Amino acid sequence: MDAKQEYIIIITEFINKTSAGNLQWKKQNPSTLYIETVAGGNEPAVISIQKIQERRRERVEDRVRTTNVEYYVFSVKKPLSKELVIQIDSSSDKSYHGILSELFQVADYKIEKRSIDFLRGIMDNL
Amino acid sequence: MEEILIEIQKVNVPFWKTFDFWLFLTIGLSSFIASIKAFIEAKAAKTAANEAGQTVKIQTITIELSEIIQKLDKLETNIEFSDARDFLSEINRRIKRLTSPFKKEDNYEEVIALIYETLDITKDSLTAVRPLDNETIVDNAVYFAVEKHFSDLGGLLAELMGYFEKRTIKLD
Repeated sequence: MDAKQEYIIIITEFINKTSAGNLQWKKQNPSTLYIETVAGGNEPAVISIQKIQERRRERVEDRVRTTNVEYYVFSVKKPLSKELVIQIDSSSDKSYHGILSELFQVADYKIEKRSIDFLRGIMDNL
Repeated sequence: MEEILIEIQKVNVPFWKTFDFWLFLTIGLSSFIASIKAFIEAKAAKTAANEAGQTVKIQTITIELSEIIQKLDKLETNIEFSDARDFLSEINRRIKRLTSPFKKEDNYEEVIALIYETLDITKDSLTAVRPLDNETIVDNAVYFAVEKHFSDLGGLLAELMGYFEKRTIKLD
């Protein structure tokens, strides 16, 4: 098994744990989600996924054609040492696009769901 | 009587046959030609002065554009949203001030339109990373959102500089 396959397995586990509600994703901004956690050696870690949308231009027969492109950056960083442990960018390796897109959607949905549940809780007590 | 008539004819010589007529005509024509020549030279001098003025102006613009490109190249990976927003506002104003006089000129119209479009796209991308609270945990999120656009913008500004420099050194 190569490193890429292992990464995909781990990201799939992130998706499953997020779906099960075991991971508490937070939203830093509309396109960046993260988890603050403690890694194996009790070292804090920040896991983040960012959705990046851009418009790319290409010249086709003297005309400029613009297309919308969406990609994801998944990264794990040690905040104390500022060490970047891993960074996967689906714009440079498109085989990660599907799985990172799924992780972002699941995590985003869970954050929204938490907000909705919180609002429901408020409404129920009014 | 006949003698008198001959004398009168001698006195009554047409003006165009006189030396005075030709003298004044020559002076008049010389003045007219000199005036036309002076007018043409003055016009040429004015055109040259305008071109020199434009060349100086374009050189000033290319210097300012190269300063902006250098700033775009020095984007920090941990740039914060407020710094990126301020920087984008600053370069947006400067670029539009420098390029707006040329945006309808055939040679620059296309590249300037692309520059304006890239500025708009960058603004949209920056909006996508506007923080929801004051805490910044993922410190390179803003960088990822704008880095590609700033790189595109630098390339387009360099292209515009190239066109301006071509005009300055008159390769046309």
